[in-house]
Amino acid sequence: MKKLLFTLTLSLTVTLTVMAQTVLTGTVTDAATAEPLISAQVYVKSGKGVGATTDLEGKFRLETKESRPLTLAVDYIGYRTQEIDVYDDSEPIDIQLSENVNTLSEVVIIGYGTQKQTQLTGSVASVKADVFSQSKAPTLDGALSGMVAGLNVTASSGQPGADSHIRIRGGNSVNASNEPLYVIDGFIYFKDAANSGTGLEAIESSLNPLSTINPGDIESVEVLKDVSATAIYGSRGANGVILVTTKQGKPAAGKAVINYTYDFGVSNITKKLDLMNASEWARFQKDYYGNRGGYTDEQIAALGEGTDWQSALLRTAIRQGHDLSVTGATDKSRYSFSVSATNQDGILLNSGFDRYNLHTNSEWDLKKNLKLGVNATLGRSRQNGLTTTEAQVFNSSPYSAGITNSFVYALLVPPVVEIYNADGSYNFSNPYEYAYFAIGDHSANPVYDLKESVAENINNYLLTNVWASLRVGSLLFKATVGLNSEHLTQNYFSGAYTSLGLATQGIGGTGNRQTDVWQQEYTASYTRDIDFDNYLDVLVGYTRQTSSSSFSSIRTNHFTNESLKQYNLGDGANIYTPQTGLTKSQLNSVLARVNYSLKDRYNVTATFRADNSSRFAKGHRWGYFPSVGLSWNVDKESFLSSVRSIDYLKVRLSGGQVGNQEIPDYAFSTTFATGSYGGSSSYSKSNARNTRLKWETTASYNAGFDLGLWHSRLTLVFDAYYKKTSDLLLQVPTGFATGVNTQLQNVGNVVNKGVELSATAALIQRRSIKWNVSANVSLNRNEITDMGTTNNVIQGSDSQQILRKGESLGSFYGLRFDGIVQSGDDVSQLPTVNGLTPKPGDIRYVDVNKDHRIDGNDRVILGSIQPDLVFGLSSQFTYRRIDLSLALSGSYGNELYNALGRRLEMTGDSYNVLSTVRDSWTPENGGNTLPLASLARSISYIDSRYVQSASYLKLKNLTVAYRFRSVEFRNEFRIEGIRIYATGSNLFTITPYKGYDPEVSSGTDSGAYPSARTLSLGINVTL
Amino acid sequence: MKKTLYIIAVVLGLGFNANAQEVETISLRIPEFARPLVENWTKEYRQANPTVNFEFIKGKAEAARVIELTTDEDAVSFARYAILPVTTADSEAARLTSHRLNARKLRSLFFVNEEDEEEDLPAAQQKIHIYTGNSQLSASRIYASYLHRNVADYKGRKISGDDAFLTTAISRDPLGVTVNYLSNIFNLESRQPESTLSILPLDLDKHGHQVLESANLDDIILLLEQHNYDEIPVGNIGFAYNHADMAMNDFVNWVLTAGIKDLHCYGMLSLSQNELTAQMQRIASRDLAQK
Repeated sequence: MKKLLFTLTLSLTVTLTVMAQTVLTGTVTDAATAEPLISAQVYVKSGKGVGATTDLEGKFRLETKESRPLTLAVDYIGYRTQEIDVYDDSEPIDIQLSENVNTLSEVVIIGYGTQKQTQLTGSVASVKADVFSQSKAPTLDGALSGMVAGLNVTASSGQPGADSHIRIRGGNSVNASNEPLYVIDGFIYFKDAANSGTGLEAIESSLNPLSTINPGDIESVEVLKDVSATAIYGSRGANGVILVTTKQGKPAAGKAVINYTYDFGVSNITKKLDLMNASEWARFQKDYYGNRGGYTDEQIAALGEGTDWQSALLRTAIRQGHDLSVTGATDKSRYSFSVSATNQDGILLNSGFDRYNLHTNSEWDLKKNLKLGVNATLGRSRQNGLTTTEAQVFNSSPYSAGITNSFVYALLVPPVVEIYNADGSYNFSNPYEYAYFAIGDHSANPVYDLKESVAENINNYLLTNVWASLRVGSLLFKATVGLNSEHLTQNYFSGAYTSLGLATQGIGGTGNRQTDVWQQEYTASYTRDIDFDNYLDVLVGYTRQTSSSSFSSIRTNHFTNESLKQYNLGDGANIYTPQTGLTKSQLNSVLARVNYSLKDRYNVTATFRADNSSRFAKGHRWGYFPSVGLSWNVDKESFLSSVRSIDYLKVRLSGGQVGNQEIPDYAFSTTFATGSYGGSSSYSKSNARNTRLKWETTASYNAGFDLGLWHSRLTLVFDAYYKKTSDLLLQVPTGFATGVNTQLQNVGNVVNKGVELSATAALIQRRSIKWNVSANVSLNRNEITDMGTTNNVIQGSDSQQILRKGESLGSFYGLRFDGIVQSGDDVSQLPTVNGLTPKPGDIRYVDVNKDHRIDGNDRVILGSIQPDLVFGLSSQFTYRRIDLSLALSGSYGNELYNALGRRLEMTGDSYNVLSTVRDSWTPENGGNTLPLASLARSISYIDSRYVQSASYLKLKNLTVAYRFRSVEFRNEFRIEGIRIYATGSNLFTITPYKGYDPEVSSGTDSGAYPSARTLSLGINVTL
Repeated sequence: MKKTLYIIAVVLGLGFNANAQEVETISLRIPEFARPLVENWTKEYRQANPTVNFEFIKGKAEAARVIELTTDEDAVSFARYAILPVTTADSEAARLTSHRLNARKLRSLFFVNEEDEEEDLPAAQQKIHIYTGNSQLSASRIYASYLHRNVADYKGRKISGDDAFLTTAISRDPLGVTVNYLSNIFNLESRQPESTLSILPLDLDKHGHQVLESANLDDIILLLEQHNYDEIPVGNIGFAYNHADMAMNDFVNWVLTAGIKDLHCYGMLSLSQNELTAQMQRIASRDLAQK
């Protein structure tokens, strides 16, 4: 009986169990892209251990004994967890997950792929689209300033469309490039500075290589800083890598999203130099320089302000921008198209920047596992800049005298000289000009110079990548072919009445450079969640990049008819030797990366890349660049799980080696330059062969942590790093036998070490009020630790910089100013200067070597372009429909050589000077900064007065915006959003620097295009 | 005798076989909100066409000849649906939503990530729990699209299964609010909402508000056949099928001519006469997208 009962009970139980077994099936997809989400975890919330992961098509199947309705939960990294109450299992369950844009759940774009933030071992910082849309900077580098710890952006000038110098964790190299590598939608984009011109040298500014990208098209920028992140780019990763990802279509209720932005702004100069006015200058001339104008005291008083040449060259500049984009998706495609037009006048007459861009980023699902994508940018940019004197250093050259361009010349023209004659024609008579820009009774007029001269860069470009990917199980094969084709045209013309054309009766030229860079990439990646604890991601690939660049330019002078300017060069009687050339290079690379994650806690990334570059000597072309990165998600350990205030804590460690190959092509071989001599062609040796020329390598180590506290209300990212660059590519002085002055050699080491800290705080997160603040600060120490047998290499037109072991790159070198010799000083105790005993009113210098005379041996390090600290702060405040954002950036501890200030405090009877010269030493009033005004400069070395602190704090951007409610017309037409905004760019700068702007990337402020403050209004409409 | 019996058996057998071959089975994949209507049609249709058999299938079950109810534009439309937001009668949610809601406020109530709309949502309404359906023909999908939002942006919990379960879900939660088709909201006998349900007040014109407040199914149908409101999604439903199949074509044609008289009874809105004519012409001219 018992047996029968047991059997019955068992049968009943089994039957009930079988009856209660529920099979749930379904698909998990991305709500925005409809892409299947692979390896999403699906589990029954109340059923312990009942779960499944989605397959390659995002499908899942799980069995549960839980009775309905049961709750199903779906987790996927980077997405909001979703719960679904299952009442009916007859239909597959379609689950769509939305991205979670918070904290470590993000997926980060890295080289050749993406990685979950939790599994990342490298130091990667992301900058999102809103930063670029708010910045209103015409190029993305302007918007990056102050946004990323360890990223230092310094504008080369205020010229619209001009380039910037970007340093990620300091500069590593002396003669090779220190610019980071850009990767734009997968295309490796590096513009070699040596290949950016056409052979014309009279154009002040070069077009920013990044001007091809419309910031409005950018979805995100990732800055790869440490070697774990950059090693996949091997020989080109030493200076850091900036990944630019453009916007792609996302389905929004199945409809296209149309976005239009119009922006209108006005710009003015941020700061003017205080120059002497006509009365002051005439008085100064009468007191110290013989009064060539013959002014009486009454006449001097009546002169008043006179001509303000500085203001005459400036204007209120207009900026307009149109951006129209269409993004969207269908079941089988995602698309994004944009067209933009930017027109930005410069604040100097006849200068400006225009850009017209077409861009697309689209992809199609051709077959179930086969995708095809196209990224393409087609555009044209044009920059009108300043004509510049050639950088020739000899005594009679205007450049040597500090007259570097027509703007600087305007500052020098005496204010007693008129711009126009009484009849309205230009005044070409300046009786005070007799040194550089006067021929007979004709002298240059800077206003005419700017208005009539041509200094134009026109770039037509195509940047395109076409790719196809095929997924086979866990394997993804991807092939990419890309082309970057750019055609640069440079036009130059200075007529016979311009400063640069006076001596030659007009000079003009035109040049063209065609650069084609082809890129092929073939990668295979294997990504798999082996089980709940083990994740593996393997990437292997081969890439090839071939570059060719040809250029030609021609210049003529002695024009008889200037009406057609550079379009009628045949009118020029004298023809300079035409410049033509062709360079080719190629880089073949194999790469591999393995990411392994255990229990989502312990992560390892091992990367290897081998590059073969044609830029180096045979036998030295292969470079091998390995790296290892480790990270530990400490917050997932049991001992931290009870600490509720910590959301996440990740510790990172990495080490490896990357390289630098950015030197001119053929630097390893002997090259000759052509010219003309005695009416015949001539050749001169321009480079001496170096059969041992090889990679510059940077060994890099990084340790850091990411910390999120109080539901990510406060997040911190800290990194400490050490980089040692060996085999520096250095131009080393050579002996007479080589036939050249210098030769590129692998000599010496440079070390960069520093720390970075970024903090983001969500100070207020209420429904109607939100306030976020982000700040970052980085400290970098740069030091040349080895120069081989070469040391103390003096650089610069005023010999103002030095490369010296133990000092940083960009160190300034000169005499230390010690005041002015005062009446009553015992001059016999003072060191002599050029063999002369100083007299009252002369400059005193510090006699460093105590040999009682001032000479080159008394020069010391006066500072450096390397900042001690670089920092940035940004904040977004939202109150209901109003939002306010600001971005500040700054640096501390860096210096600039104020060559323009030095020039403008150099007294004479030809040129105007700064009003500070009024405070020059006089026997009556003393003075301790400037010598007696009538004295000529006693020694040519620079002194510490002109190596000035360039620390600064800039309000880069301040935006106030109002968002209107969406407008709907009978459910047939809907405006999703209208946003109007007012933006102020470069609103103020706090700096002790005495020149126009403390941001001068070269370190020497020789009168660069001044920076502008811009106020703009805009409207953004989304349909 | 055996031979005779054999002949009779063969003849009968052939006859039965011949009869059996003439019966054509059509599968119907119909969500619950329209199923009573379609079931009624199949019964009526079989009375006149006994050789056609119907079977109702669910989910992704495969079948040789299927008529599927859909909101796709390519389908042959035969009626219109309407969707209303509802909560449990006399619940806390009903109390919290007693003020009229316009389209913007509905977006605030139902969806996340809409900062533009958030300010309109009173703090008390933030307590409300939203329940939405997850099936392909769920009213929740249509509702989201109508309000220009994504399904993934819904607040609250998702329900897997037919929209009929949404009523069950909110009945268990005094703060629960959902959206559903008229036929899932109303008792088709009493023509009033199911006793457990209450329609959320909407910011319509005076007449519309009065009709909605009266909560009479026939009045609401009449109202929505004559007026469009930003707050109430109304759209076509139709049959998707292989138009080369004459049996299915005949059935759909019968629906457009004879079946439509039952629409109001089952909580559906009629097509305009012009549209109905156009649909019939589409069948006649075979100007139809092939499934």
